[in-house]
This record gives sequence, C-alpha cells and structure tokens, in this order.
Amino acid sequence: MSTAVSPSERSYIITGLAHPTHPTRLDGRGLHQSRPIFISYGDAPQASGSARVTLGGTEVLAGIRLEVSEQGESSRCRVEVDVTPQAYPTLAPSALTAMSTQLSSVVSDHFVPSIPSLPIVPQIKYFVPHLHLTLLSNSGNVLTTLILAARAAFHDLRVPKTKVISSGAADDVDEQKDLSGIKAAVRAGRSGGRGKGRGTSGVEWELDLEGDGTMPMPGRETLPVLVTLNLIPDSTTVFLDAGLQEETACPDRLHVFFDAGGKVCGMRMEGEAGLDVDRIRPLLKEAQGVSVELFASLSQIATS
Amino acid sequence: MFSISTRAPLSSIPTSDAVPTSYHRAADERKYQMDIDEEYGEGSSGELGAAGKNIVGPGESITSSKDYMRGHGTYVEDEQVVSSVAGTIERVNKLISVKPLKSRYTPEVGDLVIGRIVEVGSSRWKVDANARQDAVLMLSSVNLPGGVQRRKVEQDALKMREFLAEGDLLVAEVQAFFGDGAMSLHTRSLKYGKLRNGLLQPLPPHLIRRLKSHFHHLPPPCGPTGVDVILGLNGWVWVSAGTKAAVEGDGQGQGVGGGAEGDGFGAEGVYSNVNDEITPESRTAISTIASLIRLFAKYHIPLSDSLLLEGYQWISKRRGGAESTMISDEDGERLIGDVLGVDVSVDA
Repeated sequence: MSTAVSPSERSYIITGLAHPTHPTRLDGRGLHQSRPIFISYGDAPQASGSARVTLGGTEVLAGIRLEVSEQGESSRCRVEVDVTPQAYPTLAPSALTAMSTQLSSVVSDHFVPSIPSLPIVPQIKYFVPHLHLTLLSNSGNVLTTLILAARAAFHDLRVPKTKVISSGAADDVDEQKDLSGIKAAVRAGRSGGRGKGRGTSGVEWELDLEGDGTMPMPGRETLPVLVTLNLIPDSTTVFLDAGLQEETACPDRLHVFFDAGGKVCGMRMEGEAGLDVDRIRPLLKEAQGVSVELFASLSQIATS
Repeated sequence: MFSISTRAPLSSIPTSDAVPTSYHRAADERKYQMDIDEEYGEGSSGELGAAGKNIVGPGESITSSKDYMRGHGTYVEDEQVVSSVAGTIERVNKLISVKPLKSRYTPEVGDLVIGRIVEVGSSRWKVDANARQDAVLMLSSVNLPGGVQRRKVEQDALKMREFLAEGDLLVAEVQAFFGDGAMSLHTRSLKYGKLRNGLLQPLPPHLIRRLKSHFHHLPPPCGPTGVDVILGLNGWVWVSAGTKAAVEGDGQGQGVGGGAEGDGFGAEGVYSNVNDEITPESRTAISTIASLIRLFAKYHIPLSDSLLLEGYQWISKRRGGAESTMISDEDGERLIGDVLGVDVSVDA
C-alpha cells in the first residue's frame, strides 16, 4: 500500500491527535502508548549475536559478527543498515541506498560510541563488532526499531574469552585441527601479527576455553535507547510510535538517544519545520520520562 | 506504555517437510466427485463447496486432464490438472481454475472500489485500486460541479487537479476494461466521489463479498451520528463519521443514482478537502469500528454490516463506556466466539 495520504485524511489524523481534551488515534491507542514489541534472540545461528525485533508491522533483523582488528585498526563497531526493497515497494533502488546510508550514519553517530570496546590485548588488539541491521518491513517508527534490534543483538552477543600469553611462548598452532569460525580468525590474527613483526606488538594471545569459552558483552544493559517524539503540526502535544499514515501526516520528529542513566547521548531532528528553542527542554524532559519507562520494560525482559 | 515480550527465534522452528516435494497428493474422493456428470452444466462450484472439499494446495492434483481443461491457477502434469496455488476450485463446464486465497484484487464490471489517485494525466486520472494494474478514471466519467448534465469544456481539463489531486481517495464503480486488462472507473453518481471525514482500512480483498449494497450506515448507539462504512471490493474499507445523506442513501439501496440529491450533499461539496467537525465520541466510534474490522480480518472472517453492529454491541457492553478503543487479544477471541460461535482461542 502506498503511504500517500489525501488532504482530508491528513486533516482527520492531525485534528484527532491535536484535540485538547480527547485525543484519538487511528488505531485507538493513547498518545503515549506504543504498539507491542516482540523480541527474539538468536535468529541467525551462525552470527556471534543476533536478534529480531517486531514493533507493530515494522520488523528488523540484527546480526553481529566479531572480527579481530588488524594492526592499527580502529576498534569501533562497523554498522551497515540494509533497507530491503520489500519494506518500501514504491521506492527506487537509489532512494533505498540513500536511506540505508542515512540510517547507518544515525546509528553509528549516536549508538556506536556507547558500545564498550572489546579488548583482546589492550591498546593493541580488539574484537571489532560488525553490526548488520536488515529492515524487513516498514509500518512506521523505523529508527526506534533499528536501535532496539541493535541493542537486542548486543544483548545476545557472546564474546570469546581470551587470555594473553607472554611473547615468544611456543604454541603449536598446527595442532589445532578445528579452524572454523572465531578460531580461524584468531589464527589469522596471529599469523598476521607475526608477519608484520612481533616487535610492534610483542604479545601473543589465545582463546580461553574454560566453560563454553564465551561471555556476554560487559555493559550490555546500559546501551542507549531511542525515543522518537512525533510533533503534531500547529500543536504542542507530541505522541509516540507513529504508524505509517501518522508519520506521513506529521512529518516532523525529534529523535533523542538516552543512556541507562537518563543522559542524552544523541539527538536528531527530522522534518522541515523548525522547533522553538523554548520547547526543547520540556520535550527532552518528556522524552527522558519515556526512556526510563522503556528501560524498565526492557530490563524486565532481560531478567525473566 | 510499553509492552515488550520475547518470542522464539525463527530458525529454531523445524523446516523439514514430511511431504516429498515432487509427489502430487491426489485427492481421490474429490476426483471421483468431480467426475460425476450430474453437475455438468451447472457452471458453479457451489456443489463442491457444499461438500467442503473444494480447497486445494499447490501441487495437489485436481482431476484428469483428459476430461477437463486447465484454467488460471492450474497446470497439467502426467495427464493431471494440478493446482499451482492454494485456493478454491472454480469450475465452468469443463474449465477448471483455482482462485487463490491470497491475491491482488481481480476487478469485475459493476464492482464498487475505493482507490487513490496516483497520477493526473491528460483528461484522465490514474488510480491505485489494489489491482494488478492502475485503474483509469476518465475526465468524461466523473460528475463535475454544476450538475450532471453539464458539458465538459477545455478549462475543465486544465484544472483537473482542483477536482482530484495525487493522494486523494475516491469511491468509484468499475465501468469497463481496456484491452490490456486495466479497469476504467466512473463516478457518475452522487454516491461516488471523493472521500472525507474518516480513515482507510486496507484488508485482503477476498474478505469483501459482493453484496447488494456496499454503503453501510451503523446507526447512533455507535457514535453520536452513527458511522458510515464503505466496503470496497478491492479490499479497501472506508470508515467515516455518519451523515444524514448516507442514511437516506442507504435506505434507498443500490442502483438509485443521485438519490440523496439536494440534501446537504451539494455538488460543490463533492470535491471538498475540508473535513466536517467530528466530535471525539464520533472518532472513538470510528476507531472502534476500524479495530473490529482488523479483528475480523485477523481471523479471516468476511465482513458484513450486521457483523460489525453485533461486534460493536458486544464490545460496548464489555467496556461499559470505557475510553480505550483497543481490543485486547483475549477480548478479541471471546468476541469472535460469542458473535460467530467460532472458537479461535489458542489452547483449544
């Protein structure tokens, strides 16, 4: 279905939302009521961590692959957002590419800096997460779903335990028969380190196979969430989790990223209309309250 | 505010198929039933439907290709007519076709559809009506302000966008088909035209049946002025605030063009983009009806106005005047059970 709305539909949606005492929405939700969120973990069994998040009809599949950083390479997470054509059947391929570039820049600007680095040998070698987000279908509120999916994938991520062994220690690499997956990466990393000279790093490391050999990512509970406040034209009220038609009718949005402590760690404005400076502070306060609720709901999932 | 729950991952669901892929499950009983010649010439699938066995899946053989011809949704393999889709068998004399359960809208002349303008061309509009091709609405097939008998002049062609612009929703009737299968629409009745004062609810097209009338008015306990529902055969349903004109139009039934003439339904208003004042109570009723429509669609129940009324009565009794118009899953299951007598609960 096309996302176009006629002028009368738009005015119906806006006057319904902006009603001073009894705001109504198309599907009967309250202004601050989100559609139900469903999370499943481990949807990509071969990834280091993966999750699928469904919010209304918007569905995002997230997968993380850990790689060992090369010499002098940044340990920062790489993000790729794949906007599938079936999510936007009416858009041209070039528009899809533009959209995926824009979304991945938002994720890497505001979400990635909060991801803790995963050192193998501190200052020298790191696990670099490669985060791949696939937008499977779209029925509004895409960015929130993307961030929830990224967060859930990091929650599912298992980081291999490693230990540093002293430089020059004899190790029988050739005896390792099983060279699939992360071990292959470890070995590649090792030989690379050797090839470029042990002098620069001088440290060897290997996998610690105690237990199942993996651990959850430290600090996964404190990764930020995104709160999107949808602004209603010519009104001071805002609403959460806009559907597709509501998004088309109200094109202005404020995206705010919050960490677990309720601090803002990123902010984006979407849409053509500006925002009065006076409104920013109350809006941020409102968004902060929402983020606290969202964190509480998410931690209930994590403990149950 | 937020309801978050976890689900099992998709990949843990076993994907192995017990049925070998290249094996055609022959529905033996059905085959013999088809061969009974008494049904010959009836030209309907009604008898088969009564037996409850006219549903086939893809790869299922229907009958012998020696006696029957293959139609849409079937192919011939090993002298058998085999279904290529999941759907219901339709038979016209010796022609067997399978009508898919899930498909785009297949138009027929006289159908009432709801469409959205996608393009304004030279003396014609292109309309998206959920069919395989965009429909065409000719400038000569619409009523323009100033009366039915008014002649179209060149100026009208220049200001077509003032009547209907891109994105506008309209209700129209299928008039004819072009050579390539695209449908031509007309709005030459005051029942048809631009839609206002409500919301669009898209559904799978097979849930809308061909009825005597597709304009329904649900009377006032359902919102202060009632709620109007237009069931487009293409699966798009328009739910709007009730009007007096619609009440009278509904009373006169289908086929009486322009029955509501001169009753606050002026020709100038036909192309208006401005909504009337709609009270919150009315909006709540509209949202509730839309939720009910979604609920019935979720359980694949074909829509009718009596069903909507019964559903509305059930839900208002249940709520006792509460504000929210959302229908919870449990309420939905109970409603379906009470109104239709069908048990849809998961643990049953």
